[in-house]
Amino acid sequence: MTRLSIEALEKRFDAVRAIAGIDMEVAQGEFVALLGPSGCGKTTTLRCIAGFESPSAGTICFDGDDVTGLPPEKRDIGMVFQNYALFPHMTVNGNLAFGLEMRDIAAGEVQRRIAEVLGLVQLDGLGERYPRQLSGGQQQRVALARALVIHPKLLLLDEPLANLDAKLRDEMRFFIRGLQKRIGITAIYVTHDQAEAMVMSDRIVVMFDGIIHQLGTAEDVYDRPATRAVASFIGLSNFFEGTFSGQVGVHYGLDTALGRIGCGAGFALTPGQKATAMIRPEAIGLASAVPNGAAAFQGTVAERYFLGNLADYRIKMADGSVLQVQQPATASFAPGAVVHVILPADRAWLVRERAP
Amino acid sequence: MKPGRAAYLTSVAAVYVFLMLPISIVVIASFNSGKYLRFPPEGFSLRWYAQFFASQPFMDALELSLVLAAVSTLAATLIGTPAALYYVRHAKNWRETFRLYTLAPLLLPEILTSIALLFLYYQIGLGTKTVAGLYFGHIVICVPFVFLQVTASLYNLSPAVEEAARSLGASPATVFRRITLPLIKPGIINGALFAFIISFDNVTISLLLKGVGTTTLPMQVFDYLRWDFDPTTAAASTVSILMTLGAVLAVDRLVGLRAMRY
Ligand SMILES: Nc1ncnc2c1ncn2[C@@H]1O[C@H](COP(=O)(O)OP(=O)(O)OP(=O)(O)O)[C@@H](O)[C@H]1O
Ligand SMILES: [Mg+2]
Repeated sequence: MTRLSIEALEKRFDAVRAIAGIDMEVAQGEFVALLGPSGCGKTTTLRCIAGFESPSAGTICFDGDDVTGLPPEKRDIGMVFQNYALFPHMTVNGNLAFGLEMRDIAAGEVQRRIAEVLGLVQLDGLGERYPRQLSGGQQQRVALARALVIHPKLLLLDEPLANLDAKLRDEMRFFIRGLQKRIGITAIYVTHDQAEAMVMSDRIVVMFDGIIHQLGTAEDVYDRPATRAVASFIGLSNFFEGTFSGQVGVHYGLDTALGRIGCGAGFALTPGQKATAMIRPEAIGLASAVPNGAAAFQGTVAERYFLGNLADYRIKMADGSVLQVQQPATASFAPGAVVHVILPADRAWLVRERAP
Repeated sequence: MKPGRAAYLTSVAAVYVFLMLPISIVVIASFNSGKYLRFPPEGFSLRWYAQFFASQPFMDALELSLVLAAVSTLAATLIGTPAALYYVRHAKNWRETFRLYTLAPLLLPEILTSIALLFLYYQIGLGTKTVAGLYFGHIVICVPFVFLQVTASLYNLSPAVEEAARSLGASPATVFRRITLPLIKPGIINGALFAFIISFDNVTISLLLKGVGTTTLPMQVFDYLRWDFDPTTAAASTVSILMTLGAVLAVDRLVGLRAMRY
């Protein structure tokens, strides 16, 4: 079990700044996902941690020991690649034994560890097969076993499930997470799939253009996104631009084109400052009559889409803006109906335009 | 059978016939008992083989050709393989220039290459008094074949496979020995076979660069044909076909052509 600390990490490829200053701490046994759109620097970050790229600036420490200058073979890491990267000329046993041989582990112990790890990934009896004789899912589990059998300090995974079909990918998410918890290994998991990141990780690092916009739990990034980019990337959102009017209790008042709405915020503002609030489609309430007590805005149902468990509405507001609202499919508002839109203050959240 | 498939098989057969027919005619003609190189033969005998193996010039030429091909193959493999590794993995800005220079002996007419080399040898005072220049010339034209084959096999090898080995604790040297080399072996062997065959039956380079008083087997056959038209040359050709086949079979026995697919 290892603690990972990254400080002021930067990586330039000629003119491109793939990582532009990253700080993060990963606790022992924690599962952290690096999430972000294509090209945001996830893989580069992971490759710096693994030692395949040497950072242009910054330090990487395992348990407080600076490893920034160490080559990958001296870092004691287990790595799982998107295309499995199994050794095609070796059997499953050969693949699993490779890392143990590099550590001069006695033959008897090698056999014992291989048997143990094959059990863990549920591939008992397939040790004599060559990688080409295995399915994609089985190859992925061999790759996982090969990384774990050496009992590494860190488990690094770069989009390991991207090549699997949807159903298998779903199973493997829980499988990998379960295994990681059982072993208690610290894991960094690169993905551009938000659902994957949310289901699997203790915390999520959301990256854009080489910088971290937010580092937090799934609830943090979903309910309290730090920036507009995080809110747009993870799930669906409605945005309201306005002017901060002052704090009312725990809530912040924002004067928007619709009127004043209340919301939460993770940073301080001064009255008169421009700000943007976001609210998730399922957090918005719809009512046919003016509700008691709650502030409501009038709108017209423009469109309704049936999603099975939910109904997805487009509500045209008085100022001409269109809100996306999701409600249980049981309640039904027909297109053309006038509805009252409720924006609960504890579900609305102020987002920054750029990373803090 | 569908007409499309029949046409396909017919054309494959036609290609084989056109490729194999001249070779078979030479082989058959080498067993001729008559005095002249002709087809159909006038009877069966091994006298031209006896004549071939008894002829000092032919034996000297055969020896030179075999040693030359073996040395060129070895040298071209030792040069072409690292060149391919460098090209695929490390050459950055001048990648394509590097490739062009490495392949130049293959892209340029051989006669140009050999004239250029001849100039060079006289410039540096090497001349053609020794066979050193001949060896060098053969190596130069063999390198591109190894380079091309190894390059192709490297493209099929994902860098992630080598990185996986690094992450498991292998040093770059160990990765090369345990992962890269076994996986590009098919390309190296193919390239070496090509190099051997290219050197063994080369005429153009040998024509200009052979040392004074020495000759290779194809040159000897050519020289001999100018004065004698007896089937000794057919026997020589048959022997050289067997040598080439022998090289392929030797590779098969040593490393296994089937083992080339993992
Ligand atoms: N070896 C390299 N040479 C030059 N530029 C590179 C190199 N590797 C990455 N980059 C650039 O750095 C940026 C980050 O790339 P990176 O591979 O880390 O993205 P990513 O977040 O993993 O994206 P994806 O989800 O597509 O895998 C990109 O703009 C990419 O073009
Ligand atoms: Mg990537």
